[in-house]
Amino acid sequence: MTMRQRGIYFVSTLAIAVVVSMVVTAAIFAVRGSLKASEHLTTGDAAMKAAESGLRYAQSKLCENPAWRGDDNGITVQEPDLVVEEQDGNVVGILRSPQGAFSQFRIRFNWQDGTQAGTDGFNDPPANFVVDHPYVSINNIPSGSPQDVPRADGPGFSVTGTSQRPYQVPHGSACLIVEGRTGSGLAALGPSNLNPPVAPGGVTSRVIEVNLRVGQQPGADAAAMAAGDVTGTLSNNGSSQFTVSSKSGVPRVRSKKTVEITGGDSSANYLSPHGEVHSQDGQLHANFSDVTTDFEQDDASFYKLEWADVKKAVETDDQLPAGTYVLWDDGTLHYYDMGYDEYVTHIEGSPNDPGQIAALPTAMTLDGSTLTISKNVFVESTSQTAEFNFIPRQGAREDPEGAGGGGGDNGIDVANPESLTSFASGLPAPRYYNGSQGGTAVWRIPGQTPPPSYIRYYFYGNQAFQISISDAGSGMVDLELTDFTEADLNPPITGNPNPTPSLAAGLQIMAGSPAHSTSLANLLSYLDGPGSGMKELDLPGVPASELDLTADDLTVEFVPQGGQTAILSADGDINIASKVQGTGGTLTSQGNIRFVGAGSDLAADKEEGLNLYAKGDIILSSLEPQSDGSYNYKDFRMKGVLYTWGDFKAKIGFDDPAVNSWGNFFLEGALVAYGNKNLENLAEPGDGDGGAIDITAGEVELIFDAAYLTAVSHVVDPGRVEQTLYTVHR
Amino acid sequence: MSASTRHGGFSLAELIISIGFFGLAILTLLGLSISISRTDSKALERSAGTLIANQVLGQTLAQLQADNPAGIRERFFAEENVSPPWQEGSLTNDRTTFYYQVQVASVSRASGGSMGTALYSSRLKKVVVHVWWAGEEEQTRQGSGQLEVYVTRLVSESEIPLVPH
Repeated sequence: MTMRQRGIYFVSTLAIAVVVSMVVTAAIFAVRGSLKASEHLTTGDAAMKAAESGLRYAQSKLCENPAWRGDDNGITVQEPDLVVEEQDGNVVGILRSPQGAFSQFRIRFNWQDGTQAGTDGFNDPPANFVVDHPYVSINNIPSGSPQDVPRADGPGFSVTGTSQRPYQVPHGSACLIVEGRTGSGLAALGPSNLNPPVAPGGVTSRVIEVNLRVGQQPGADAAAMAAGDVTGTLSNNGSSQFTVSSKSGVPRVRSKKTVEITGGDSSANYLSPHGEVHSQDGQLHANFSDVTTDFEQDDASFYKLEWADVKKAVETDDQLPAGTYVLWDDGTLHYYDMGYDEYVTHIEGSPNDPGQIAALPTAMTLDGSTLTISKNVFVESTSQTAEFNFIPRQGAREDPEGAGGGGGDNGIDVANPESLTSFASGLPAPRYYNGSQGGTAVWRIPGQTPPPSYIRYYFYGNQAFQISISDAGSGMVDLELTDFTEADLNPPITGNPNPTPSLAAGLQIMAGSPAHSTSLANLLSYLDGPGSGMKELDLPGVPASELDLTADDLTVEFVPQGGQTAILSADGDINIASKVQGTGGTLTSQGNIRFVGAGSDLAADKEEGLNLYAKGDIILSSLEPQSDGSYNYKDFRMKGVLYTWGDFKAKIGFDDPAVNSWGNFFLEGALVAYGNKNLENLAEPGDGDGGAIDITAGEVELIFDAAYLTAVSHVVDPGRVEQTLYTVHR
Repeated sequence: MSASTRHGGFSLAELIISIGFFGLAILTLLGLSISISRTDSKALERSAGTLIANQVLGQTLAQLQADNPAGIRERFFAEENVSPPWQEGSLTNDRTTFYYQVQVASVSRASGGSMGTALYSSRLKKVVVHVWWAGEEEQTRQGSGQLEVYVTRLVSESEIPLVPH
């Protein structure tokens, strides 16, 4: 073999070796690529399944608790192959495959924006529960307005004031963004280490986003929501307006019945730019522009806040015996163990009874005529009453003379003939008999007995007809109508099988006669029943010099101390005839709440939100009688949520020549008249009694502020939540 | 034998050694080729197995949504179906038969009891789809290791839309 031949063999061998090496290398790379593709598919699928699992866990939780936000602090699921833990709005879960590999899902509601509860309402989670991705979930189910979905693009994956908010989640929906992860970089995952830092080795991650919506949509946010009519009566000065605005979202008023504004600016007495009004008839009965009207859905919910969920004073707080507290002109506070009506009857019979000098708990101090409440005060019911009443010795007038509608039981309003007819027609069948001339009809009705002497007889004209009230015993009185001539009553009594229209006709004739207005007012006031309206007291024998103190001189002031709350809670009515002012005060009652006499300037604490909460009605009157017999009305300024199961009535003006000036009503927060009075628990709006909002004032300004709604929010019943959007981020 | 004759070829020893080396190289290449082929095949089958597991899971959810046969939805969320499983069967893909089994179990609260209630459509199930293809009764094949995949996912009652019949 020559040297040339040897060289050829050597070169050929090398060439073949190189080719074979290349083929082998190519094959190895091909297989490696195939393996990687396969692994990518399987790990990606595992990450996706982890994300899906987190999503379905959250969906199940939302079905049971539509307000859920990953805040069931602690381990919620602990199985060999599945562990889930929630901490301060962050949720981490791990799944283990039967082959041993772990995958993880993470959801964050926490903005991780500080140790104090910020706008997310959470403190920061523990260090081992921090979620280091920017996708923040928002549960907007218990809300009536859309909400921004922020990205946690601040330091340490926090949400800041300047963080991006690329879109909103509709009200009644939750935006859930779930991350699923797996891979060798998470090798430390385990039941005792749910959220380890990522180690070298690679992690496959998938992020899915869904919107979940409840079947029963919460009602839209509104500055005022009423199960009954919303009625605004403005002064006829030509410029008054009923203004509705919102600090966030659409300014809105909702009523299950009608919305009607009368009086005021004839060109625009309802002002709410870009606002909405929802009512049963889809109408707004007012002068307005730039307001959209719509139908209120029967099943649309209101803000729901059960008595049990109300933050209130309890037995362990400072206690004050229920009863009537009367401030005398000498600065002493007198206590009577009786409700307001009983006190009025008692004191008008025994005007000089001093009762007992009141002993106040430490949470209450009396300085001059100012009663300061610095901590929670629970009004402890006595065997006589559950009410809390605070009045000046001379009482306080709720309505001007002749205004009627004094809060009586029968709803009589002298200014409204229909109410007279309605009252008459509602009477039981009369004991009726004819006389020789005209006729007489007698109705036996419940009434305060004996009737006060000054309403025993009423005459009209030359004794054309007579209305009298006489004691029938056992809490009953006889209302007797005698028609002497048959000339004035139409229809006449004689021969009329149903004489109640005759009574209605007589009452209406008297209502039309200025000369008889006072007599009629007294009569109607009596017929209306005692109700719980407040009045000036008739205290014969008490020197006038001892009756100078008026409701306008008294003040109830809430001054919570040391970060505590100042809540006055009673199981019965709360009647206050004084100014009510302060910041951070709340009144809660299982009966009515009534402020009379001097207006208010009361602001709730934003964290608590609630201003007034009554299972009965809320009645506000700022009537201030003047020495010349005329009247002024003062303003009511409230910040917070006014919540009544019954009616809301604000009497801050009255159309009468004796009224010099009307007051204004200002509310920042929300007003709810749920219409569930007399029910044990809240049902659907309007299922019970009441629910009307009736405001008579010079100006009305309602500003919706969701900041006060932290305690009072839409409560959505548990149930199915359905997916309305599904997208994969990566 | 003259020196010129010896220059024309290889000695026997050289030939034997050469053939030996050549054979060894061929065998190595052959083994490598088989291994590569098996690995590649396993990767492909694993991908296919994952897809099939997802297909089975999708079919299961579709059945629940349609509630076909009637009552299957309620049975799915009300019962435990681990052993015997909720469903089992096989699918053939590119001459490979994939066997599968679907197990369904309730998710339990750490505090006790199952998560969710029918009242709120909040019941939660853990679904494990097991797919294997080495043989009907075996999940491993000599030289290929385990030929199986598991897909696990939670299924909530509310995610199954109610479709009116």
